[in-house]
Amino acid sequence: MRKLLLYIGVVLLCLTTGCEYKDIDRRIFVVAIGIDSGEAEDFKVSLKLAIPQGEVTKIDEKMQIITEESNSISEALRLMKSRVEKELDYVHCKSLIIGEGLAGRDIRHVLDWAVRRRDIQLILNFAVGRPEALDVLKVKPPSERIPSNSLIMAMSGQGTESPFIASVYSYQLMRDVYEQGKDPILPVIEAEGETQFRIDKIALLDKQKVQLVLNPEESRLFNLLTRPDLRTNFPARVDDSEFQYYTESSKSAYKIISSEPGAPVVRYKIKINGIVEENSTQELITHNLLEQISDAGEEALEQSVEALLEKIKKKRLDPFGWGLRYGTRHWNNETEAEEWAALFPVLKLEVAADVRIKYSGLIK
Amino acid sequence: MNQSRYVYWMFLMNSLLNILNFVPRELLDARFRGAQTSILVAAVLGTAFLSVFTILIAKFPGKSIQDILETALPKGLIIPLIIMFASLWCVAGLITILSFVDITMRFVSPDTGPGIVIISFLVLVCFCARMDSLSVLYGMEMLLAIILPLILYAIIKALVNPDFSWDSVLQIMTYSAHAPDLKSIAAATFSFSGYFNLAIFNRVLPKMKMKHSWVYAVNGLAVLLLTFYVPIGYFGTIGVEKHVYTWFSTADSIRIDTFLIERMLFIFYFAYLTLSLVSVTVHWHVGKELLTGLFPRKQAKNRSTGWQELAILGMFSGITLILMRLDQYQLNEFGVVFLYARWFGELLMIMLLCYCYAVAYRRRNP
Repeated sequence: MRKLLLYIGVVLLCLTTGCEYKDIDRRIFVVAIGIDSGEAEDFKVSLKLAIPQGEVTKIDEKMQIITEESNSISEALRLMKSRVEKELDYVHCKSLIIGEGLAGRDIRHVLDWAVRRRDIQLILNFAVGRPEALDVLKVKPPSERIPSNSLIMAMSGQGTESPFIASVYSYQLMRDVYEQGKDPILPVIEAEGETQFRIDKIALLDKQKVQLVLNPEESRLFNLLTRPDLRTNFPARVDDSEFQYYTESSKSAYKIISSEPGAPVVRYKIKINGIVEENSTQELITHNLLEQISDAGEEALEQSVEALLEKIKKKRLDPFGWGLRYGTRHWNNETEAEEWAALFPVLKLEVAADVRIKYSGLIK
Repeated sequence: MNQSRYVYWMFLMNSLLNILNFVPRELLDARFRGAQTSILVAAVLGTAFLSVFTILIAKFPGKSIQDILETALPKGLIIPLIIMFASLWCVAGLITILSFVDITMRFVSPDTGPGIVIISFLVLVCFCARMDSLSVLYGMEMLLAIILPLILYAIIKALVNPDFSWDSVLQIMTYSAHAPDLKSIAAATFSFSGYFNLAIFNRVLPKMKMKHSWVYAVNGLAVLLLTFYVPIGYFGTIGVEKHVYTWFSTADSIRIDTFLIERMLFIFYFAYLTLSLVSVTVHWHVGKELLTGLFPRKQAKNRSTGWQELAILGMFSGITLILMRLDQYQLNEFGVVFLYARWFGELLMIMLLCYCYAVAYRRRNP
């Protein structure tokens, strides 16, 4: 009896090993999805497909891009199934690019689809593609050996540590789209020809579409405010000489002060430890000059950050989550959102930078 | 060795398992109302239930709940009571298994048919549940030792993520000043109800004692708070209600930079697969033991008890297969009804134990 049962069990176990599972050579992997608004229909969906290859040493990049238009994303994907001979597999998909035209109208439909679909990861990198998502997918840098790898490395921050790139996963986008008192952001990827892309801008969205695109300079400051230890350089001008200092460590925090009479204040504190990296004149850097550079850097930083904050505030966007922070400090949950909406236009913005440049580099 | 540690393992197993499906959903649905105060109340109530039950049942060393009831209640009352309790355990197990089949289908292998997944789970669980009580306990201890580090790793990794939105968590904390509600308390006390399995396991743990009840309180509270706050940090105060399996989505959102596997989901899935199968095994073992106890007892293990066991486990599996038809929302409602039923079942059993202890005490000191 026992043996019989054991036998049945073993047979059943054998069944589970290969159940409807397709071998890797019958699959084709989608590594990036691009979604634009279509010409005839609502969506133009493009897939970048990586073709699995056997020998590692002989790998040369093989990929294929297919495009289909339809009124729904899933329909477009189904239509594409009949254009490739293998089964499309989305589990290795790491990035989703939304075309600029579509991002200017509504991203929520695409977001809902990407989060709802069970075989797409929640750590999918979202970005806005310029001029179209398809153009970004087509980019194939010469340094790339695995299809779309350069895009993945750049966007997730695993490769380059560019201070201009903000990486946004789909769970973060989802959180910020629905959160009260915080607005989502997306990085912007520009295709420059067939072999290069540039990711140095950040798009600020209201709950639905792109409202403002920051230029590279502003994007870097934005990252400085939202991320610890940003590796970058900032300028400082003393008299006639232009210095650049590298940030070894950076920290920024803000407080909303609304208890005092008068308009509430958002007070940012930025702390940077730096090294002098570049000196435009041949001047010897003394201790005194080092302090002057620090002061000059502080002032320049304060001004530029304040200008950025004013610009964002004028658009009535809240990518830093000030509204949410206001909510965390107040217990009147029913009325705090309205209070904040009334306070927002009269907010005062203050920035206090503390730049400490400690070294002049290897030479004085 | 100290037998009291098994009480702790049983507690820990249930407490970690609550993340799986209904408990976080019920608590998160009430996040703008009394979820947080309910968690506090549940920590107190749960610890109280646990301590009272364990202390009482330790007064009857080496006896199962049925032996205890037989000392004080008429036979006609015992049978329906035992059947009722056994069905509670049966449902406890099948809800876990149904949720996990659903999770497997959604997150890991959408291509596999649900039939094959559930049948392979059922075969495994039925075989394991037929082992004797001590072996089940040893197995549980061993597997917990394997998966605990993985779960701890997942939780620590979840908390140190720089993209964790602490502001959302703080915002939810400002909603804590609400009266607790019954549904959330019923959900949250599930985290503490692992001790309930002692009803059978007391038979093989004659030297078990209740010690350090504060450990249970602190641990249970910590697990509940993590259950509640971590998904909010990942999905925000409002977005969190959009996710069905909140904790698996959370695990899916964690990226591991420096490891063979990039997605935390798979580590988390492996840990919870093991944990839920162990938990179903324990629950169905208890259910099976309760029901076999109803048959007249013969000498040691012979053929007929083997068939009885198989018939009972087959019945449990049959009910599970029938309930496979429930959709997502029906399963959730069913789960909520179970959360209540289990709570009142616990209360009833504690009262019965009190009564039996009183009867025994009076007999000893007339």
